[in-house]
Amino acid sequence: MELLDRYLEAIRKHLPWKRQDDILAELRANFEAQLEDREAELGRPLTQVETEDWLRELGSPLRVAARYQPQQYLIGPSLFPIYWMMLKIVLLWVAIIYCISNAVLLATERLSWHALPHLAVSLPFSLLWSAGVITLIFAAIELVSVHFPEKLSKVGALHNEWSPASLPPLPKPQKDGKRRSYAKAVTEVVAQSIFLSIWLIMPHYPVILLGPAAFAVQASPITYAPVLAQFYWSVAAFSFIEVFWKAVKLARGTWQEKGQVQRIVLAVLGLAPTLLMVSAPGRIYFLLKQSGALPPGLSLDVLNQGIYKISVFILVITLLQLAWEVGRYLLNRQHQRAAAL
Amino acid sequence: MTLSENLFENLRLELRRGCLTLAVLGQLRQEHYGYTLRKALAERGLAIDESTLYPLLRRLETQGLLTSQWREEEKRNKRFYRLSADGERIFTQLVDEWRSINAAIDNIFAH
Repeated sequence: MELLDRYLEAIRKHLPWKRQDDILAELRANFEAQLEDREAELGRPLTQVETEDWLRELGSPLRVAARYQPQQYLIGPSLFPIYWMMLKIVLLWVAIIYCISNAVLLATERLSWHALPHLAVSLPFSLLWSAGVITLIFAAIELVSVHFPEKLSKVGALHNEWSPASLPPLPKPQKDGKRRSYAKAVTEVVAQSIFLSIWLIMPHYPVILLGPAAFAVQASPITYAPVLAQFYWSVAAFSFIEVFWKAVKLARGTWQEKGQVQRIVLAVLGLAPTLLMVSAPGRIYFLLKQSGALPPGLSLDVLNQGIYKISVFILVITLLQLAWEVGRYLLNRQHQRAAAL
Repeated sequence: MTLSENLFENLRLELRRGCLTLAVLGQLRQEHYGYTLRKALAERGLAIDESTLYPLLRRLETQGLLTSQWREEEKRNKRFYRLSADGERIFTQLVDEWRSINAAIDNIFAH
């Protein structure tokens, strides 16, 4: 029966190559027995049309062969939750870094504004490429865990190694009784990313911060002391860490938690820029340019002293906030221990 | 197929999927090759596709629950399956489990 032979040959191409002959021999025996039964019922051989209908009932060669494959999915159920979480985190970060880096390049005129439509169209391709890389990595891990299970025996057990004691506490509802919404959490990340972009662009466009006064400052005999550059970069680093932390919480689905530890860590990190300002050598924040001279009545000392006093004030407020957060954290721990007893 | 029919069909397949292994092991207390096994199951009320049955037989053999041998019968080479020693042991355990589940389900329906 030529059609059956062609059908079996088409199935062979998609079978696992090590077992092709064995599987095909078994399929041939079973299909031929089926064919004999049908012909015995009809009392005659099947016609071409009847044979085609019968083969159509059996299913396409690809579908028949697929059931003999050892692996039926690209990423299996044990690995999929981790893959999904990583994919969300990576895509979020690719989008943030793409937007920030191109915003800086546009602002510093390393890219023309005419490139903006192209950049907008390219973002989905960047995201697709990143998703493809992550998927390939996890598909490779799945392949190794299926064919060499002893090498990746812990992959399947990842979800089993967790402690109920490490579960996060229930989120507290807002004062109006509602929980912190996803939209609000996303808005915070986007707004902070925009702030970071503006902060990074600002040295090239001081008008963003100072407005028209920026031109007056540029023309003035005053220039920035090195401590202001350190302050600038410490604020950028702090902002980046804050955006990163919030983006990770968003991707992990824990955006509803305020996180006392997070607040304390951020408060400690937030001390760095202020400490830099307070400990500036000679408390000098602005200097006279080499060829400059201040107009009569204006004093750099007064300006620098003023900035120093403001920095000290901010430092005291930040330390009080930190003390408050640490106090609340210790009090909560005490209450939890008392409740456990 | 409507949404409701589709849902029923999916749930029906899920329900059957768990029973097929037990049915196949039960029928292979006697020796069969693929086609006669399928016929025997159909005659006893459990119709099963070739595309489901044959890979299932391979998987059960890989798991050590079945043994197979090629033999010529009616001028044709056929692969005959039957339960292995491990397969008989597991089958007995599965039958007990099946009866226990059946009793529990009947209990639930009775209330």
